[in-house]
Amino acid sequence: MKLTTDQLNQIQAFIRKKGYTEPDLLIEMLDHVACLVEEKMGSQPALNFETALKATYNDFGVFGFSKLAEGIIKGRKLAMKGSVKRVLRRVFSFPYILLIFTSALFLFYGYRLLYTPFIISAPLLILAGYFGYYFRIIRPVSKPFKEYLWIETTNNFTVFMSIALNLFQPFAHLAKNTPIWAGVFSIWIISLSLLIICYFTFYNVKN
Amino acid sequence: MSSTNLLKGSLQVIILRLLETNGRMYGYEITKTVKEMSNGEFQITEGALYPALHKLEAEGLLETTIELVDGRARKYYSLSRQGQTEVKTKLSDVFEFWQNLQLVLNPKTV
Repeated sequence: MKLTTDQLNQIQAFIRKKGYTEPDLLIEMLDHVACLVEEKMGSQPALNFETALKATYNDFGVFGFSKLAEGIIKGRKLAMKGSVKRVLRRVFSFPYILLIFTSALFLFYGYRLLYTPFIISAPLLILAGYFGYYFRIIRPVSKPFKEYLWIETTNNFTVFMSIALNLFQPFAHLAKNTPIWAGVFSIWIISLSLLIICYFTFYNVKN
Repeated sequence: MSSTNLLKGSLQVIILRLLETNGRMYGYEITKTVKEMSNGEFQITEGALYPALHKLEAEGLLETTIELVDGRARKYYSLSRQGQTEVKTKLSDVFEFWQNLQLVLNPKTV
């Protein structure tokens, strides 16, 4: 029993009415619910579409589609965490680990020599973005997930980066005279660089 | 303990094994196949299936493609090259665990 385009549109409208409107969430929900409705109509041919849809929805229980939607949303969050871990695991392995170590040393001695540490931090942060964007350091993920990663991380990333860089400025002069502060700033900028790499890797992943 | 609770720990292996056998599958198809193969004993809930699928995708073990089927977009999951290797390891881990569990639950009387 295959559903018509009109019936599929009705299911989509029904799901949207329940509050699930995100495009990539709708893709999986619509197919899943449509399969269930088709199965119900196939096993009970006397059932009309409207009744089958209602019965399918009732089968989900008192919480309706929330379990299905939560499953997909939870899955995406897990996948995002997993992707961040994979990027970090990759950059902390040979040969990238050498780059991190060299950059940390470069920053440390740079901070000890220069009064304005931002001069040497900025190129490194830009290089991190370039590295994340142009080198596909993790296996590609699907397009909808890529879009999700991009949207989900953009706001947090922008806010976090502006706060992180502004926090750094008032204490920057301490790095010249205090080795501990130079070390702290080096680690701080390396961490920000890793964040930038993750962010631009997500941006550039292709299907 | 219900079979659903016991199933949770093995869900990823089940998904990997099914995809190894069937090539590619979509979410609903996986739940239906598991239910049919176990004569209705194993029921994978959507709340458990999709997190497991996305987690495996994020680990690089699964690849996804979206196709237009019967007038709607359908997301198919299949094993990546890494997943094809990993499924054998995970299966042998499960069999080993199962054998050890049997040793504990059914110790031979001397």
